[in-house]
Amino acid sequence: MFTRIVWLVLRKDLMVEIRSLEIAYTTIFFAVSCVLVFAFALVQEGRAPTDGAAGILWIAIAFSGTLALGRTFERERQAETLKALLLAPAARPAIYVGKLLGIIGLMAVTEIVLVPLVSLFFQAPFFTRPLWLAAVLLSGTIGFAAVGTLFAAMLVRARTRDVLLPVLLYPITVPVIIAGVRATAALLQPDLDAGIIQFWVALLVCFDVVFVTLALWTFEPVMTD
Amino acid sequence: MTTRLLMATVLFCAIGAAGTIWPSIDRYTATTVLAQQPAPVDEFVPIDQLPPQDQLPAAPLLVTAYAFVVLMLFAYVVSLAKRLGGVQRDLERLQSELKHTGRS
Amino acid sequence: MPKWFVPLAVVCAVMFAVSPVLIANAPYESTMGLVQKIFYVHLPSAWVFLLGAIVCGIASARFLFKGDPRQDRLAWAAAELVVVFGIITLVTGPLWARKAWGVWWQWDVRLTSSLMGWMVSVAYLLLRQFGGPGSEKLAAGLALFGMANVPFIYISVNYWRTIHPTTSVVPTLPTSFGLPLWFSAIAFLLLFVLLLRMRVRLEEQRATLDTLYLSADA
Repeated sequence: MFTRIVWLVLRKDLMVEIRSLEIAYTTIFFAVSCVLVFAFALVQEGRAPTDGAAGILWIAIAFSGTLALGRTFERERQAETLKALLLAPAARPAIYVGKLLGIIGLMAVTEIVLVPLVSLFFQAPFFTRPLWLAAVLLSGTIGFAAVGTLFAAMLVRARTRDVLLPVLLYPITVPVIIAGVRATAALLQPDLDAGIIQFWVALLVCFDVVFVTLALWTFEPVMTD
Repeated sequence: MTTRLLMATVLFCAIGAAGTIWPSIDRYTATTVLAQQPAPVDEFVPIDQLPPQDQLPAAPLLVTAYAFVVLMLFAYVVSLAKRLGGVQRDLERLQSELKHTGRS
Repeated sequence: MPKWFVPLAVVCAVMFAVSPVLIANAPYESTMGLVQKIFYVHLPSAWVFLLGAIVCGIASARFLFKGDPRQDRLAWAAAELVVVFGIITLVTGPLWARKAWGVWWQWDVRLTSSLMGWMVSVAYLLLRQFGGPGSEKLAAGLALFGMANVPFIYISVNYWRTIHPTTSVVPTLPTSFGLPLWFSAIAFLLLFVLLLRMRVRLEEQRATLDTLYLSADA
């Protein structure tokens, strides 16, 4: 039953998105312009700052992720469909998981575009350890999206939701950003220190587990009037 | 009203406290002879055995820190008192209005 | 106001009047000298800052799952005090660090996690202030997430080298340092309790005002 509701919510989001591709296009374009701004600001005499690529990648992910979160729930709000979704006789945690998977999918698509782009502009050898990179990106994205989905859902009813989402989200996701940037920077080192990456990925996985659990636990009381 | 009075007392004491700490700072920074200090225990060396450049530049930092603490707490208490007073006024006005129109 | 408020306020005022004398008479610390005296306000305010955050988190959790509006008022009051004492901690800290470490700011674990905790409480207040109706539940959720976030911030920042004095210093302090510190800490604790009570009182009055307005409209 739980997985069925999750699947239905996810399928609904995917179908709405695939028909217009509005959020995907705008998010990807925003992420690309974000990277370009960093390139213009930081690349001097054709040389990128060392270790800058990891930070830029994660800033672009965080910014575009916030945009995607805001837009996704704005669409739900405009048509009052979130209210309808919550009225449905379905478990609230299942709705949350469905929304979360949708956001993760959207962010993953953005990352697929972002990683080669950052790699190209900042001469960063991201693809020497693709599995580690995938692990870092996936665990980081889940952590960011887990907090982001809950906050964006909560803020649907708030008046100043556009401003408040980043204000609330960034202080809470500091560990994700630190761990993501450090792990990615370690990946870019010529001699790989697997211990460091392992530590950060483990931290990210712990963060994911704790915050997904906490979000599942609080989604019900928070979304009930 | 007692709240107001109390806050005034607290503030007065805070300002007084700030006042009492001033002369002692003055004393320590104006003179480098600080023999009147009690002998510290164990590894803590009396200040007069330290080179003088270690003592002097600390005073502005210390004064800033204490001044900031006092000002910050003062500002917060004032803002709290203002807000409490405002709500109290509204409450009294509304209550008298309600009584006036004969409803409770 | 409850009966204990007035006597406690008097005790607190007396303690704040006496503590500067104790602090002024405390001996100098050998390596840091005069600037070490910031410690007597920095550490107590940091403790109160932490205490406020804990109160806010617990009250928020209880509000979220039990729905008691008194817990919500307590959480709001505590969050505001966290911001106030957080500013005090974050301003006095660098003033001390400038002399003791030679830098204003260091990305050390305790500084960074304090800063992030302070940011979360500011976000909490912004949410309460500008969130509009229904923001109390959102704020409670935020406080809960902020609490859960503390160990993660701590671990992730701890990966960098730390130069902040460790907590193990405090119990081993000689009495000449310990007495003013504990005295000051108790004074700050009393101040925290008093301010918290006053801030909760403000929310109670506002709630009464709202019910009165509603009854006037009806």
